[in-house]
Amino acid sequence: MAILAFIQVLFYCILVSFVIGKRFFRKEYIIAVILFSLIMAGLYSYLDIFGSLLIFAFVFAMFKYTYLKWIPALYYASTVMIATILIDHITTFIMVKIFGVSTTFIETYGIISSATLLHQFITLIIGFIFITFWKKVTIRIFEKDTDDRNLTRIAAFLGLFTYAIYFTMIVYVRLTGNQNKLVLMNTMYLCIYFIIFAVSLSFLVYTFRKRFEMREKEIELNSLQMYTEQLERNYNEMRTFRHDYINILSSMSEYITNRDMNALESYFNDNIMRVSQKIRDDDFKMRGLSQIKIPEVKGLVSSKLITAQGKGIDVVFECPNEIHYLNMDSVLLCRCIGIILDNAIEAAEEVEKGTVRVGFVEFEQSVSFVVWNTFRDTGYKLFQYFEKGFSTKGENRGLGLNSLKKMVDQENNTQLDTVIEDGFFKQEIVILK
Amino acid sequence: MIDVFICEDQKEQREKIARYVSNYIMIENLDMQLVLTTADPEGILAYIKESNRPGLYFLDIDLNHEMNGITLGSEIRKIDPIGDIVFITTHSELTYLNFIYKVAAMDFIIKDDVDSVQSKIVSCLKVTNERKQVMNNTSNKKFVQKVADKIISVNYDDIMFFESSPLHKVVLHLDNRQVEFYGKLKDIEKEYEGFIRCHNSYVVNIDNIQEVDLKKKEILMENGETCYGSARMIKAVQKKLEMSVIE
Repeated sequence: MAILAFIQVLFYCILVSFVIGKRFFRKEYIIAVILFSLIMAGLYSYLDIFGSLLIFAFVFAMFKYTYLKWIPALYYASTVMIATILIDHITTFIMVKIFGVSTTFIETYGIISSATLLHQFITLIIGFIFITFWKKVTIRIFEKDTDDRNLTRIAAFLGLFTYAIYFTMIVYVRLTGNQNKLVLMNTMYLCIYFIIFAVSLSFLVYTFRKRFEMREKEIELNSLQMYTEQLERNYNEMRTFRHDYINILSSMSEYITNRDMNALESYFNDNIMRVSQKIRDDDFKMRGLSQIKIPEVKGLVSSKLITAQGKGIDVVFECPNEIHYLNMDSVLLCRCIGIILDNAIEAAEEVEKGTVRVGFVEFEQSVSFVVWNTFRDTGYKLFQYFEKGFSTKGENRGLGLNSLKKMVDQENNTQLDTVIEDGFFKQEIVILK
Repeated sequence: MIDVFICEDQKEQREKIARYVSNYIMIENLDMQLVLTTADPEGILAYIKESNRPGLYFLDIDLNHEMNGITLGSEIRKIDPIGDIVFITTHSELTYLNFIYKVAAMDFIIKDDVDSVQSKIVSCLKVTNERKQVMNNTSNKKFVQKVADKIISVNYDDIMFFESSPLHKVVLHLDNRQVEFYGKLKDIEKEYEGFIRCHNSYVVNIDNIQEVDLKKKEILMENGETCYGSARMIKAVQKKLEMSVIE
């Protein structure tokens, strides 16, 4: 029996070494393990199953010594203990079903049968597989830079609690075998488990939402960054123009003092008209963006339009009135705008010299978001564009009008108006104030 | 007779446009008259409140007045819903979609393109003149709905069917358009005898039905779109169709 206990303790320590890895193989660890195994071998017959509490304490101490922190140590120690209990049961099951031997009855004083050795061996293999897998799953929680301290706490607490339940159950069955009390205890545990489950679930949902919001914010920030860069480019262009403009004026005054009308005329036509044309073409087209005062909408619209401009599409945006508020769920609004603009840009790309006109039109009781785009008319009827999964470029590409319509349908204050007319695909979302 | 108005704050521009307009009316002997050339938007509004005739309006955007061209345009719209509004503007002031959606502008003329101003004015005069003649010939059988500031006005002939959607919205299906408004199918049914309830959430326009499939309970429309019927109600559609064939 003493030797059996010795082997069992060694076995725990091997599992621990799987978790800790290379750092385990140091002098102080090896000595501690051997010493503890010997002590346990001596004490085991007196302690019976309470010996496993001592083992737990030892395992915990080893983890604490390695990781220097309470919470990971608690978590790992409980996990190892749970794992051994579970694996022991699994192995017993395998032994009975496959080899047809029941190890629990073979263990008699002083005899370590080959079956027991086999039992320990299988347990070790399963343990190794389990721990490798477990480490991969949970390693993220305890990465050094995790700032999610609540998560580690919950994990540690769950581990410890689960171990406590296993242990008390085993002890209870071993000592009394009282079924009624066991049922009562089970009920209590189930309740506590349920509460923990609910708490961790809501925590999980909260975390996910936070992460989602963060991602949205990041996208918004990137879009605004793009917009700022565009503004800077425009500003630089303006500055060069102002520089040129002074040069132009001074050379014009030169022609005027010389009364050289012919030269002045040709200079005017060749230089000034051309420069003013260029400014007209480039700068005024996106001017309205500064009127949108809703950051996420401004960011989204500007980034999409700037990208479209980069693709060689003639993009015009207009917004004569300042837009401060749109009476629609912000996330839904952005998704709708995103879908409409993506569709418009994709369609305009397919034709030569594609055009996309985008604008906000403010009325007394409503605001309309309007997008017109040219498209390659392949004879599809409008209702076909609304069919699920429709795309002019084959199946399942992007989010079509179908999903847009579903989104708008969810909102009480919005209506969709879609028209194909004069070679344009025209979309209007009316948002009531 | 169509009244033509010009509202422009710059004297030279105003006179130039007035010259183009009156010359063309005279040469072509159109049934139009240039009644008011002004820098004052209030003047136009006061005039049309009295006259109550459809007009053609050439409006500058920047009027140096608390009212700009677009607000003037929408004020005019309230008094004269069918008149033609043309904006005269610079490239930098051009807000095309706003012109169209806000005041249903007919066209816009860009001042910076000096060479094309005259031809554009002439074409506007022509279009208005032609429109007037067409208007006299067609009867306006139109389905009209108002949503907030927006008026949906479509010919009965173009309507395929109505579909109710959640939150009290109705989707109107045309050949080239799908538009939503707030309403009840129950009320729409009564608008026109050709509108028949074929399903709890569908009203079909019987004039545009191509085929009725009683087995599948589907109604194929002229444009290839499918409208759905219910077992009970689709029979009424079939009956009505048969009756119209006999007639």
